[in-house]
Amino acid sequence: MAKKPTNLIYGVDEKPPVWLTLFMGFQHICIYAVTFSFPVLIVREMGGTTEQASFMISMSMIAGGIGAIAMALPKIGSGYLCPPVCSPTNFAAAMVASKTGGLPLIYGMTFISGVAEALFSKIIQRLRVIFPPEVTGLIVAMVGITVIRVASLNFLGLDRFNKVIEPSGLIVSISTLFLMIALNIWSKGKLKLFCLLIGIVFGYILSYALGLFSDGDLSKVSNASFFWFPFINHPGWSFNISLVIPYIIVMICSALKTMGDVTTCQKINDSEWKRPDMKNISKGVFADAISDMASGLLGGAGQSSSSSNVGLSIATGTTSRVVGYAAGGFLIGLAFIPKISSLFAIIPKPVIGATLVFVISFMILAGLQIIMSRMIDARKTFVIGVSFIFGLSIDILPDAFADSHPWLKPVFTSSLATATVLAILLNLIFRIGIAKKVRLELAPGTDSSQKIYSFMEENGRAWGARAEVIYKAIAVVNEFFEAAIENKLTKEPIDVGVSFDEFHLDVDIHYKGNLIELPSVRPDPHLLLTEEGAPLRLSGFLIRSYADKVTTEKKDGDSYIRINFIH
Amino acid sequence: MDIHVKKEAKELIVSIIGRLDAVSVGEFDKEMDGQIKKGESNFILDLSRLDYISSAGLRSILSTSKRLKVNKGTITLCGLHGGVKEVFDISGFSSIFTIYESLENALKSVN
Repeated sequence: MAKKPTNLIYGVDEKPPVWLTLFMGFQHICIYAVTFSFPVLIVREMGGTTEQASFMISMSMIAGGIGAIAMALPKIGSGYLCPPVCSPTNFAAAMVASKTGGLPLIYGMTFISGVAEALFSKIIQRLRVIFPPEVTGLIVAMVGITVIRVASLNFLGLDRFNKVIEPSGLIVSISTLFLMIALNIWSKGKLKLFCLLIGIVFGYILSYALGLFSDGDLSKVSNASFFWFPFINHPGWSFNISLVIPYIIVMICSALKTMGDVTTCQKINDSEWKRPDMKNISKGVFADAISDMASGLLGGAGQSSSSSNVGLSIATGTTSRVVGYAAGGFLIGLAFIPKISSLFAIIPKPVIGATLVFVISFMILAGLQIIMSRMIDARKTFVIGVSFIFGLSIDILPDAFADSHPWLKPVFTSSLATATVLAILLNLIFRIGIAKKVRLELAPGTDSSQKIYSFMEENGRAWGARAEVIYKAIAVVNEFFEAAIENKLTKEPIDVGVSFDEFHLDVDIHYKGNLIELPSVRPDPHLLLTEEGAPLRLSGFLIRSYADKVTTEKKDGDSYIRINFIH
Repeated sequence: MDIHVKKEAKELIVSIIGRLDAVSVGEFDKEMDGQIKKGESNFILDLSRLDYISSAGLRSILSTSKRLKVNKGTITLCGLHGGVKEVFDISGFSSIFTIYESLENALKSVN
């Protein structure tokens, strides 16, 4: 049972008041508007019409709405507030498809990608061994880092046509970001809950005052109709077998991103979070697949879970799944009201930039926290470090990978995908040589507690164990060793075997001599200095208290103690 | 283990850094003995940088406390955290000592 962290105002299972839920849902779809640029770009690059772009945006909204609701439903999806949005990962594959078969092929292949992701979701929970916390933490951090380039370009108002930073744009981005952060840090109650929405509205007003909206932008809103029924514009579907592999790669990238986002949701909703829940992640990836399949069928852009929305839920302290239902409902409803969706579509670049900088800060930090939740040795340092470096090189040196095979473009155009693939491979390679069972021999009168600390810490780091469990095991072995020497339980060497898997840490102590008593009742601390045997009973009591389970056995002069820790 | 000692008004602040176990209790006892012999009677043990304490360490602190009581002295603890705090709670030592969250709070209370 997850324990709600104290920094959350509304946890995943809680229901805020209806009006608050609706406002929070609306705030979440403001972030969705940031991703409208992807379907617009796809249609623009293939020389399509404004109607085709509007159709694709509307269908993406409906698919996103279905995905948001599916994701929030615990029986279908992960049960978290983690809505899917139009994904930039699909862009390269969609461009290849558009050149071969236009929009029908994009839609057909997006549907195939969704089906493949649904199948992939069913096996992902068996892949726990390739996704230890340091790898999933890296994915979460990279999910945020991968957005930095887009965030920075928008924040500074730059693109391939505008190479100069405009002071008016910079004023909007800095003041919008400052307002969001100030409301988040220094305000309480509703202002904190709606810090992003207030910031966006402020950004729109300031952009209008400083003349950042062109006449074309404003006419788009004024000319947009109040209601339309977009389905009649569907161009149909087509399929191409040669595009299956690039779309499978896109699907894996999308699934990994969802994995990172759902892991973050698990962590932020449970103050006692220990490791990714792969079964729950599998359901999250399935919800993502539903969104992709819906997008393919309806005629939208490829979808993937939104790290920005997860960042927003951390910022506002509201992770309630009913907000996910509200956001989904809004998305579906607004797809039929172009007047309002067009208002989102003209969101000024500096406001997009400020919004992204605000939300990805939380994602990057969440990823680093997951990585540091485990002990790190040289192997893991290289898994994380090398993957980070080469992943970031994709964003820093985009031209270096420009000639990669079209199939591999989804990997080599995404710092997230490159870092993840590298981390998985390096983790598997560096696992070679790590023993799951290790032994330590302790000689009373010769060895000191330092030997126990060094041995346990070294192996704990190699296993990537949680530090607090390793320190409990250290405390148990050391307490026993001190008691054995002081009370002369044995003069022979003490054999300590330690075995680890992700869920358990077992310590087996074997020696020739008297079995230590492990009382379940605490000895009176006042009697420790006066009553004979009290110190030994305290040692035994501490050993029993540290352990989650302990058993003892005496056989033919040999004593055995088996201590189990839940990891 | 390292021990840092600092005098503040009537209080002697003793900061224990590292691990207090059977290996290091000898050094701790020697330091406490020396300070008591010098006439110090009001101790604040700052455990904020203590990583681990075994039952041998607990007994050593208890023994120091008993010796101080004879001279009407006091021993106050502060800065317990993580595993160290857990040991004090499990063993029942939390209920027999006056414990403050931080050194600042401990100093405020004695002044």
